[in-house]
Amino acid sequence: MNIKRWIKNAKIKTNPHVNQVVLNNLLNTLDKSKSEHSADVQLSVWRIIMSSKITKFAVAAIIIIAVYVGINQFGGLFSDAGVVWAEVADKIDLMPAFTHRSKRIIICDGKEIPSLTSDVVTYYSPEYGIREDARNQSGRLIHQVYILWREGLSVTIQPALRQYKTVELAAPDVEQFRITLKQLIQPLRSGQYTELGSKIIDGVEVEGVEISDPCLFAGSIYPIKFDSVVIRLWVDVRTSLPFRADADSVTSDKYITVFTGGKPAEVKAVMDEFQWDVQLDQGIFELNVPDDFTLMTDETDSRDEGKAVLGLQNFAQLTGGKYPGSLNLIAVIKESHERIKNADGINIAGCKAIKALRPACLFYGELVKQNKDVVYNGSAVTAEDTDAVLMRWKIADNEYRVIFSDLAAENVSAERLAELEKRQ
Amino acid sequence: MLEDRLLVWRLRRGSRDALRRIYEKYRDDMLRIAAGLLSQTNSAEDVVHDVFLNFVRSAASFELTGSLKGYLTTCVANRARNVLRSQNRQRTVSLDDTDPVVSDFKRPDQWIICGEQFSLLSSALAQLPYEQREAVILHIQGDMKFRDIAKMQETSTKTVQSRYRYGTTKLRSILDGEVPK
Repeated sequence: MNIKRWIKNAKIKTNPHVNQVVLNNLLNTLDKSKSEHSADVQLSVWRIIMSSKITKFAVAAIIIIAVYVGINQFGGLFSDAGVVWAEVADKIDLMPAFTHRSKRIIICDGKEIPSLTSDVVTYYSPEYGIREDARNQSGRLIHQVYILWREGLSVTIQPALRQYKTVELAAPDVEQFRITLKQLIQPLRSGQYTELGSKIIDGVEVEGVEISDPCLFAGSIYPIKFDSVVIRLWVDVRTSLPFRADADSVTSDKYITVFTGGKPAEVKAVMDEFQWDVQLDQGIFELNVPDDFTLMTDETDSRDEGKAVLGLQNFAQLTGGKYPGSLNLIAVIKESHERIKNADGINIAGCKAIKALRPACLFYGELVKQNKDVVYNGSAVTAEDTDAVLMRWKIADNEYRVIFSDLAAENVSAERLAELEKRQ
Repeated sequence: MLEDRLLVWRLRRGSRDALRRIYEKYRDDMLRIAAGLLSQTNSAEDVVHDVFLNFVRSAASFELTGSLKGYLTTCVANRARNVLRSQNRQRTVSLDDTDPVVSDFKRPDQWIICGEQFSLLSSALAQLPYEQREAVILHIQGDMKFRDIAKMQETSTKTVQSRYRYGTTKLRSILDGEVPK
């Protein structure tokens, strides 16, 4: 006799009536807990927001990317009796800002990667951009994404790797970065969707659609590229606003696959707790990257001295002869952001200056990584100075490469370098 | 596992639908485990009801670190052990000294309906020392690892494995005579 199998197969049945009675009792208890402790629940759910320096607003959750891309796919009226999906897009467009919360799980080879499971809070502002903070189950920040309209950049920060990456936004004209959701929606209305009907979620009557399109994020400003995406979007019938969204996707983007040994990963997300029409402070979109974080690059990035010098030249031309105070790209973005913040409109020069400096930042970062004794004096040297050392690094035992304030470059001995630096 | 993490996450945010799904998914398993640990089905029903009730009450601050089934099973086992202790104490002390139950909610009818096979098993389990019964039920029906059972019983993994071995050997000898081949 296989006792283990026998015991495993010894089942019970349950009284359906009692099942329901007990369930009702549990549901009533849940409802009572919610109403009695609603403030506490808010605090526990939003502890991350409440403990951060940005506490001015009493907002809820996220998901701009999936929501607006989902909305973008609606091609017209949904039905006579149900949600009018064009109205959904219009309603979102009228909102000055909104936030939302989501849970994301990453799976590789059929197994969840617990360290990447995250609670995500996203803030959307049509004026400043998008910010997303993802924290793991212990509350530790695992990534941040800033998509900044005025700077024309998206910046993704990886605290675990102490790295960040930047992607320039595709729009050729920075003015386009301020377009509203409605303007974004129009070019994307050609997508197809499947109606899911209506149901009740958490006591709210909703109607849903499913959108499945491998190109759903193609050309979008979101920094991760997906191989396939399926989104099920549920809209509150009463308000015609998104109530919840579930997303299933597959990605081979190295930003994710760096954690999976290069294997493709599934990303599953549940998004809800939308808060519409919220006040978002500009400070939310200020980049906050530690100084010792390095730029994430790939093989296509140039680390060439010539391109670095050209970048510095372009920057100086845009800024009237000044060089950036640092060749840390985040510091450059912040420096430019300061100028942009005070401008009446978009500072196109600031955006171009950031873009111009990327090769120089990469080159500098490479020299630091190789321990080349690199020194950069951009905060003290301008293009007007004579024979001042802008940047120098070691190329051999007693030899340094020097870039002067006029961007001329020369190899000098260590003694000669000492003399030049003494004069500064 | 993935679904459970999502369900717990939603439950923490007050989702009735998530609670319903968790309850329907694990109700029968927990009742079966409780009934295997305790000879009396009434006590087993009370234990499971209280475990779910406590779970709901702590939902807002609940953090799932392992498997949900494992968590609920552990709660059922702990509560079953407490019930047994209090029943043993009741034989020598007054009822006023017994452990309070979480809820005084009265179920209208009997909840657990035992089939013949389970009734046979329940009678056989009642003949085992409690630690052996616990090791067998939690490992086979609760899918718990020996090291987790050892942690709960505050003993070594080897001891739990021995208890399991002795328990299943005794059950086999009891049931061999009862179960048709």
